[in-house]
Amino acid sequence: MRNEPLLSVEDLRKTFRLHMQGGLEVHALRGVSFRVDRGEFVGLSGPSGAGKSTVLKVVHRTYLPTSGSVRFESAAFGAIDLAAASEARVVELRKREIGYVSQFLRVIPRVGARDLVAEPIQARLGLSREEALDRAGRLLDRLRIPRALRDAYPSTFSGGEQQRVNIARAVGWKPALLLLDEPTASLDAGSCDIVLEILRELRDQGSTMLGIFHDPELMGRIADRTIPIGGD
Amino acid sequence: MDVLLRAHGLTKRFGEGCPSCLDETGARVGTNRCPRCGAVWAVRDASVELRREEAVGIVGESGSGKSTLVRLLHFDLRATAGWLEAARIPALEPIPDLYPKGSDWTRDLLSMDGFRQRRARDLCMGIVYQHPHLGLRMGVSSGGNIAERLLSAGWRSIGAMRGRAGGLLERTEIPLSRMDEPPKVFSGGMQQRVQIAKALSGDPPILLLDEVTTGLDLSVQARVLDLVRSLRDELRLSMLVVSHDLGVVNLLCQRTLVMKNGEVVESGLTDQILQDPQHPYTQLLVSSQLQ
Repeated sequence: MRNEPLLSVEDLRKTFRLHMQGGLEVHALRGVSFRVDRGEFVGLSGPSGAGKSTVLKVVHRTYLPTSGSVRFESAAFGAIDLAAASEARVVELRKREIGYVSQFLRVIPRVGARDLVAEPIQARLGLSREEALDRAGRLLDRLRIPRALRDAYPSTFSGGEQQRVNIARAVGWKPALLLLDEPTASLDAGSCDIVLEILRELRDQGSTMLGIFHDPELMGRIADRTIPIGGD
Repeated sequence: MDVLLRAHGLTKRFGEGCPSCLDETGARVGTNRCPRCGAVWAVRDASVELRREEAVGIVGESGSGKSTLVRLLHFDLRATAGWLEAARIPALEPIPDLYPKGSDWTRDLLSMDGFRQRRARDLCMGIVYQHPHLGLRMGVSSGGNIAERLLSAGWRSIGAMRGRAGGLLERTEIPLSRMDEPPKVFSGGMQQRVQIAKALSGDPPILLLDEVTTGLDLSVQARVLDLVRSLRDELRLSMLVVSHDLGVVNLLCQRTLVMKNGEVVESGLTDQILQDPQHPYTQLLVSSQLQ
């Protein structure tokens, strides 16, 4: 499995053109290239503003790249350039293969935590609702979400609790590629350790990870290697 | 994800039009009304694809043409130009000769005779309007509103229609005890829920939502959105969601089209439209959103 690229990023550039500020151009990425092998855990490093999150968002296609290519070896569709793929294809890939954890929970209002986590497990792993809820419950237990809260709405949770629900929702369905944008930013040391352990297990089961961690020490503990981003 | 419905070059012009129209209207010049002849180009050259179990949002300011676009698709208005085709789906099988031999697509639905057009529409789509009086007969009982739709779909047994209407109203959270009351005595949120029940009565694979939560207060809006979300998942619906509220499309839609002055100026994944808008107008729209 190793040494087979899952993701190959070539000369990726991203320029934001801000029409409301007189067409100001912000060059967020000026030619980024790297490769992530199947089963690897790769960290992105660099000072804030260097474009680390931008890289993740371009791979996820939340941002449209200005130029360059992002080659992804999809199990369902074969090699595909995410920079140029159709929106329908990207929607499919997000459903089946590529997961994303941001710093913030994108809360779906008035949906309980366990349902939120079970939803992708049920849809993507083809389990029954009961099985999915059961797995979601165990994952939330492991992440130390109090049982009393598991069916409450996460919009009422503390920042750290929301973040743990967010992580549970992203890892429960075992995506082939998981993009991690500071997943542990608002967690205490104990929760951090649990999250790292869950991510490590997921990697051992075959998932590939590309991530940013605010703390270099944390990154060192989890990543197989790091790629510096930034500079011209 | 296969395409269920595809429309190309949809155009709706009110008025005769003149040779200058095309140059003097549209997003580039900031108006949909021709200054020379006064013709209004409500929608110009718009193309839309809707896939199975996909929700597509249409956003834009008032007068941008988003409701007109949906009404063209629902044959409420007659298109000036363009075509519309549906994929081969079980819902449309009852209509004879709808598909040319060997084709997986219907003939152009826009150029079909009105009878077949309405039949195709009733079998494959339901619509919910911003103003309930467009979708409901306000003085007829709620159950009767649904029965009317079922009658036109070929239902004949009163008992069966009552059962179906009751089930739908229950699903949209209207108490059965109020089934015989007319929508005019209901609150705005309830009226929208009766409209949704009526729109779903023929089991259509496609639901068109035209500003369904506009004008409702926040808690009522939330309840209607929750209902739409759960129906979307439960019935595996494809939806076109017209809204001026970016929060609504963010909640419901994977893809979004942005309209201005009758034209689609940008389309993309909803998160991309919201976080990396490309067109100047989309950037203005996103930055104007209250957080």
